[in-house]
Amino acid sequence: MATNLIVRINEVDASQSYAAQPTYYIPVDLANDRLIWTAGSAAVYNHCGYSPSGAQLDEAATLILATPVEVAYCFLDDVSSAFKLLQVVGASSGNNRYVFCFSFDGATATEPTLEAWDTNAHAAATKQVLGAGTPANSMIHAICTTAGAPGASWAGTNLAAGNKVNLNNGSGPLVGAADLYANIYILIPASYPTPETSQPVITVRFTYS
Amino acid sequence: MPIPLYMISFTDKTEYHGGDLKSPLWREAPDKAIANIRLRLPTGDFLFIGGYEEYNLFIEASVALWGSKVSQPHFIYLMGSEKGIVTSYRIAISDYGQYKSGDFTVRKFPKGKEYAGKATTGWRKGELKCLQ
Repeated sequence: MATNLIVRINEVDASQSYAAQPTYYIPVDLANDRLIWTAGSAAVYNHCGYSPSGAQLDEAATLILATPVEVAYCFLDDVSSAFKLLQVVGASSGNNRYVFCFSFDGATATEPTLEAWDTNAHAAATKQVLGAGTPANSMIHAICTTAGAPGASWAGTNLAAGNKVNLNNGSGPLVGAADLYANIYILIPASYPTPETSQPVITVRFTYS
Repeated sequence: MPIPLYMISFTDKTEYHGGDLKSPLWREAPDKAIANIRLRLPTGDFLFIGGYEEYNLFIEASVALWGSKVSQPHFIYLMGSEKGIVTSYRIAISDYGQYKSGDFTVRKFPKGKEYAGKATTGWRKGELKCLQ
């Protein structure tokens, strides 16, 4: 049978797994929802009740500073929710384990991986946020938290192109249904010279038979 | 009746017809020794392999966290293993990056490193062979 994947975000308490507290999690509508990393503003905030415009998101952009700056918030723009913006609780460099949940309903032939690319063609990673062609410089940091919390101030993997995260903690293919977890944040280097409004593709690759 | 994605001929002369790209039904195949496999390609041709000690078949797909359709299948992998060497036949299912639908790649890997340097699961037994 095909193995299916449901992506969920935790909007309540990042210390609780989906198995323990399923109502804490919101499934992502992969075709219509979007994730937004932002500094937030008077117009872009949790439960604001609308999908922010491009201009509103520009005004809520993270400022580049003389020191590295972590993007403050990750929101799910949930088109089916009256609240619209839902904060992904714990999406940060903090010691938060249950943030992004990847629920597989069956076995896989290989270990699922989390990846980041310019587009759905998965052919290049040249956006500034992805390291401008140097994956090690990607500003997107990701870590597998399936087996445990990431620790305080974790760095994880600079996610871009071949720099990927094994979501089963390196334990190989799934033998059956399983919930895998990861945390993701964006860190802008000090005095980064090239501002960017970016829509990279963060994707989960898996196999089924 | 839909055309199956693949057909397995077992050494006991029986056959098994697989499913489709969404549900290949590989793991549901009878646990019997495989003589050969015919895989239907996007071009309408068939890939025929046989004589291996073990076989594997799976679909590679991806799901973007936003802005994508659900579960985009990219490749079919058909693998045959013989004497610790895996021959991997990878066929592009649709236009994807630098690949066009039907693009065909054959590579060999040590067993246990057949997919991105790592082992796969789902192997089915082939013909039993006598030691020379």
